[in-house]
Amino acid sequence: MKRYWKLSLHFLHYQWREGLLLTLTLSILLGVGTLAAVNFFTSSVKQEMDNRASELLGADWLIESSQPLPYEIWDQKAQALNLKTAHTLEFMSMVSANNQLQLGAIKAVNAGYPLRGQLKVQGDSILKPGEVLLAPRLLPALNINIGDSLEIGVAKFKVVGVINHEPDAGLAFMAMAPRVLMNLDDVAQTQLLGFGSRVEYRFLVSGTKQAIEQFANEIKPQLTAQQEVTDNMSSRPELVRPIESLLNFLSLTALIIFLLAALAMSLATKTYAEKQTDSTAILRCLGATKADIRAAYLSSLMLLSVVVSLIACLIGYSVCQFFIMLAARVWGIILPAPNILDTFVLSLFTGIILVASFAWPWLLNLQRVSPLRVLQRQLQTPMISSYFIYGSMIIALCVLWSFYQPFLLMIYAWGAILITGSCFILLTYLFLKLVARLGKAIKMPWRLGLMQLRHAKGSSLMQVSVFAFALTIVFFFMLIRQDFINMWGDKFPPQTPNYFVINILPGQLLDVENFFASNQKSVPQFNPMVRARLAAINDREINLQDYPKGDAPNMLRRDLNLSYENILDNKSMVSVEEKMGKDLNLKVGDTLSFQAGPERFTVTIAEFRAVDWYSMRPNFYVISTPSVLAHFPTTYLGSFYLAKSEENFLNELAKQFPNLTLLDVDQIISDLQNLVSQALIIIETLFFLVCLAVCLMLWVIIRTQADTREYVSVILRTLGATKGQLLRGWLSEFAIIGLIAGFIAIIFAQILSALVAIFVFDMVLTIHGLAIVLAPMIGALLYAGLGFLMLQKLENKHVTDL
Amino acid sequence: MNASAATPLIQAQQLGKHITTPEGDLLILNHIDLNINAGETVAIMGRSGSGKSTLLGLLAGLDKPTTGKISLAGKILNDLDEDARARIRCAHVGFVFQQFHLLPVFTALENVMLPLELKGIANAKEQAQLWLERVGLTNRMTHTPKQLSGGEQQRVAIARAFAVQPSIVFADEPTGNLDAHTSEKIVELIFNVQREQNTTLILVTHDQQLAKQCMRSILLEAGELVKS
Repeated sequence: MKRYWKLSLHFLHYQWREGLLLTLTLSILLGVGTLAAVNFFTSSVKQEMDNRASELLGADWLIESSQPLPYEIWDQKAQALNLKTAHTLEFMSMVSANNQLQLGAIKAVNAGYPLRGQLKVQGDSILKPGEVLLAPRLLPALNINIGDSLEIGVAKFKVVGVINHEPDAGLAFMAMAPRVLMNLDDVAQTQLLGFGSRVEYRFLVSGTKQAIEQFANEIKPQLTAQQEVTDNMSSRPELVRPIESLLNFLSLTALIIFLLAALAMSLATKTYAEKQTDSTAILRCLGATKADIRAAYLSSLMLLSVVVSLIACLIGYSVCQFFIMLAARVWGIILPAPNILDTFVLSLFTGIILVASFAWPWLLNLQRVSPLRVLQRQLQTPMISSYFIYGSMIIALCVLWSFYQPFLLMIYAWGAILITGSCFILLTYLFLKLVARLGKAIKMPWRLGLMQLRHAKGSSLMQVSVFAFALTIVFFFMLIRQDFINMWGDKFPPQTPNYFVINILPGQLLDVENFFASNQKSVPQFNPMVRARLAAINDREINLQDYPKGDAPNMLRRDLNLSYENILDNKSMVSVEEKMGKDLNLKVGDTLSFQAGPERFTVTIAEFRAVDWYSMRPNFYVISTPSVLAHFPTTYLGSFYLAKSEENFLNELAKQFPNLTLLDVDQIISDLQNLVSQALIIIETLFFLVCLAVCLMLWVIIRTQADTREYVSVILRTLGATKGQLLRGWLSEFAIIGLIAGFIAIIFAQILSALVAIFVFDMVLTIHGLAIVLAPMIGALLYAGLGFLMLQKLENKHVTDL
Repeated sequence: MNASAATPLIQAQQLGKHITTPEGDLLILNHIDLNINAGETVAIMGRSGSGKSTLLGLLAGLDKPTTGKISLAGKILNDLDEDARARIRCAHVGFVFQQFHLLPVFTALENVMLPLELKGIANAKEQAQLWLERVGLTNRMTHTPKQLSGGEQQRVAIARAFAVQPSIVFADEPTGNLDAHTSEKIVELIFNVQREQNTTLILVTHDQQLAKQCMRSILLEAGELVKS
């Protein structure tokens, strides 16, 4: 055993001198390092998303209902699982003081609230019976100060503080009216709640993930139709979606880099193994057994892959720390430390699999080399089946990708790779045939390159395919990155609406518009809104179990916001939001029956409509015509921009129209803006890594070509070819390869980016016309440039050097 | 030395080798009977294509015969797989080739150390150094084959072949790539070391002068032994 290790170490040393290990090391560092960095970062961001989402919920998990909840039974179950619980109850009521009246969003809480996040209060933060905390806006509106009293219903309360930050404030529209926070035990004294009161009851839970899962599994089957579950990831879909989209993008990019690194490694090892055939024959002749050959070539690589993977993990971790530092320095976001052990183990495993599947199979051929080759050099080595070699690569990639990616994305990626791979080879073959025909009319030395292309068909096919693949990835990344920047970079221009005003009664609409105008504010567009519950689809009553997809369960449990406009010709038609259509499996022509109060009405779907939920303007799932909806109780809503310094306008608006509710979305916009800027820097960094991977790939292609080109070049020089003639001959070949590869690459990059934009990132299709024209030229210049660099090395070689 | 009295180190009985080509079977060697004793020096001669190198490959255990039986150091090679034959080569055999066949990225010292390490010899480096000094390459130990002349490369190959103290050394046209003066020096070196180590030497050569220095010569014609 000691002898084998000694051999392994010796060969590691010799292979390093040979240059193979440099390619392998760079491939592992780049492939595994990038994956590790993205893994570490994803782990950190996911934890942060979890924490933040929990904070925004005030808990890890909650159940809400318009009916009282069985608090005691659930408390007992939760305590048995070591979970913390809290209860809250919300309703709207007028509050009064000094003869001033103001609508307040009353929230009554018990001692445990909030379970996650922090209630930041100026004044006394612990509520005793008979005490309340208020939103700052309520003090001037009611003309009171801390320490004064106010009335809610028939009970009197002492104001003990002002709420500066309420973690779960964004949970419901209703909660965004000025907040009044009181003790749960005091609610009865107000005598406000009775039969038919509109109240939102919540049961909050926090604890370990496993305990919550167990609790959820026990409770969920017993829930009634009114009792709705919210977990921490579904509370802020507007934040979760772009983050998930970004993480998908990061993983996809990391896998692209990994794939490039893996291909570079595979090509480099194949060339190395071919060059090692003679040396292996000598070793076999000197008495080396197959085990010795395996020790010399394979064990040494295993040793290398473990060591370099560990270093790659450390580099990945440092890159992740850089991202985390960037987030902290630039945006003040403190991301939690990533899960180190899991990511280290996964990255190490990735490195070993990478070497075992992309490098080993080629080297396995070496143990089949016959010692007789020392006497008969023409003796061919029986190769290991190419099914085994490529099969092991595909299986390894499948195994690895299943660790990193959602299954669906992996299927898309594989489909894309297989289709593009086959098309590459076919197209390259056809192009080369065409070029060879054209080449007959061209004179020497330009024809030299074309002859080379025609005669070395396999090599040309490989060069064009591999170069086209590398270029496809660069172009694809450039296009998708541009789409991503276009989509998110300009998402929130200055003066994006940051307040929603809702609950405007039809009779108030004109007064509200005049109020905006008289305060020199631009008048927002107000949209009518009717609330109705979807009761049947195609006359079939809704059964919740039939619609498990996406947001469907949530949409079907509650009243939806419907609006009306004169946009449709047919009077009983509706326009439905696209995603709702998908989640509920709807199609044009289906009928939807809605229940609005006691009345039921049926409409037919005329079209599906894409809605930009990040526009910060009123959006509706369903839009119908006035003739269908106008006779139902209607309120109006609109959104507008207000600078921080103009907040007094809000107080005036609230004073003038006490029934209106204001929703402040400033925090949401700022969170999204931060996220987008951070995402763009990370994307730029990854693009740099993609370029590095492509450079590595090209370097390997050139190295695989070096020996043959050197041989041909020296022979031609010996026969009297001038340096200029050689240069023109080679450059014509390189330029043609680059031109074909560039053309194929841009076409596939365009197709791929369109597919990924539509299916993975929910973006719209963009055609980049200029890129299609420029790409073949870029390909030709790049490859000819690389070729030129390579030829510089060959100019002084002579026959005696061969 | 009375060679006939010694136990044959190599015994070949009715050795034959043919290969299958698209045009049909091609006979390379036929009905070869041959005994070579320990310490003996034998030249295998014949025209190009007469089967000399094929016979050398079979005798050294690099290849298996199609017919007949062959034993090396008491082991029947016919029944052994490639790994088992490799172990026999490692224990008993050294090689010197016309093309030198040194590992191109290894230094002279590393090339000589290689068979010693394969054999598991502890002080491989010291032994290799001694052998390179012995063949007159004290100042060339860290040079790679590309930095050595043909004669120097062949000296490294000789050191590599004899360093493991093999029972038998096979030399395939050892002077075929060298000028007359260098050839003379190399032949002298091979025979000196062979005598010191009492190694059996089997030479494939076209060179009559070289063959004359061997105890006996065998002649192949069209795959058959015409003089033994």
